[in-house]
Amino acid sequence: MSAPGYCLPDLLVSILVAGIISTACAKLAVDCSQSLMNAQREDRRTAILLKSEILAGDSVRANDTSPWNIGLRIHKHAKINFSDGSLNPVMQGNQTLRPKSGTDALTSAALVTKHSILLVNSSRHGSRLRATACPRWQPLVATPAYKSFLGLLPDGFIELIADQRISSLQQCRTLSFSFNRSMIAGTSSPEALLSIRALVPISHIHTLYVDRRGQLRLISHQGQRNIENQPLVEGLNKFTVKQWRASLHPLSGISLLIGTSPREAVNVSFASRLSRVPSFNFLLNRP
Amino acid sequence: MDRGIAAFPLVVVLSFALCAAAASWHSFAASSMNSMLMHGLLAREDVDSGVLEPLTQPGITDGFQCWDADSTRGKIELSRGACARLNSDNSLAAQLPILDGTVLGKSFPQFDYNSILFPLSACPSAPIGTPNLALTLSPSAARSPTSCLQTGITTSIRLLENLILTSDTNVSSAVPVVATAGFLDAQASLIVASDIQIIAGGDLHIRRLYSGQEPHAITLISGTGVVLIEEVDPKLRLRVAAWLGAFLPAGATLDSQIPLPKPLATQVLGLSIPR
Repeated sequence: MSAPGYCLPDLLVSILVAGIISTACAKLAVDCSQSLMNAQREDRRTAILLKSEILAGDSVRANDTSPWNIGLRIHKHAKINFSDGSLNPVMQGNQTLRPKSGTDALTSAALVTKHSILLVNSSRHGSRLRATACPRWQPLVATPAYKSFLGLLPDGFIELIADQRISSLQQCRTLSFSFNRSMIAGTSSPEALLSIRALVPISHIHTLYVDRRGQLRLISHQGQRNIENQPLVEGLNKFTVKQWRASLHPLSGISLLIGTSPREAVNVSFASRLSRVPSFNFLLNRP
Repeated sequence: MDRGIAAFPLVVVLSFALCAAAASWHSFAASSMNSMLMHGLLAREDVDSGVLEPLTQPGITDGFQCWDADSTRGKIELSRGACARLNSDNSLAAQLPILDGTVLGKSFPQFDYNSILFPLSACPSAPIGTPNLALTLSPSAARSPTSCLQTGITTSIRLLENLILTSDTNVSSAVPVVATAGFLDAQASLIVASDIQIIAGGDLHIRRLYSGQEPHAITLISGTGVVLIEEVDPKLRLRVAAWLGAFLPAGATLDSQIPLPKPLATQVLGLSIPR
């Protein structure tokens, strides 16, 4: 009955030993793959949180490109809107690109104050401004090409879009601008255009938000246009932003609650390096 | 059968080894990526801390300045710049009764308009657009889109708007400062009763500047425009600072001892984004 050279007890012992070893090894393999999956999940979660933290931190750093009270806007409850309260086109377009309910969005603007421009001899044609523009401190030679600018008024700011990109300004030159809605600057009356004496190039205006698929996305704005909308990080479930202001000194910043699942979230906080001041000293001191 | 049984644990051990290798590789790849991200975060902290340090060190020259701070963490190299406008040496300007920006250039004093204009006052009447003026505004001087009309001044005024005084205006003795971010156009007489600082971000025009009996000290400042006084009581002592120049009547009494408003030591203009 039994195979030649084997007896039944030997066979049974062999099968038993093989079974024990294979069960143990299979358990080890399952544990190993489980640990691998857990580690992967944890690493992925860490990467998501770190990337989100860097991106949100850079939004606060963008706010420090000027010391003025402009630059950071928080859109609560998944409602991304312009400064005048009207909805940004991302709220009405593709369903999957719309913000995830329960999350917030953060708009930041980066300015380039060292490339500021002085405006003289302005004239207005409807909602368009034509003016002689001169570099404020030094000739702007081979600077990045700027399309949008922040116009400074004693009582506020206006975002202006240049008719053509301005990449260098070695001497005074006549330029034309238009204005419309903006993500950062309040909408003003066309009459206010004539009071703009200083223009600061806008390097970018970005909005960070989480779409309905849980992707952290970045919209680039230019006036009322969304010029790009890119996915940056996948797997975010929670993204809420709160602005804070220190009571004893003029520092401010944001607190961010980010998480990959609804149950757990990490709280990170960022402070501006520069205290916020009105723009009078920039506007009323020359050069 | 014998070989099969012997090979079976070997296969399981091999698959375990493969799994462990995969885990190690993954762990290495993931920790490399996460350590890159951590280095990115730390490098940002470094440049954030270092970029404003030059402002605290002696020897930084005055005028408009830009500089960079760098940081290297792992394979991440980051740089962040800062620009500031540092007040120039005003020892020459401190001795002058008339500080003319067209002559002084970069030595023209920078004033702290944030402290001059705060706390802001409300326009006493509903703000209006810019009506007909008694002066032609300098095309590069600051101005506000809206103007306030006022008849008498009984408390200090600090306005975002332009200020237009259309009729003779008495300034009470309790008023040390009249300041506007835009232009100031006194189209008739301005009668002062004490020492006073009259400051406009844009042009400053006074048709007639008078006082009672006392030789009051008057500081007149235009941050970005001209100071234009058509008539002035010779009893009044004047100190004037105007970026585009001062136009005073013959016989005006000047006094370089009259204090100017608080100078602006440093104006940080902004930091760049780390790159």
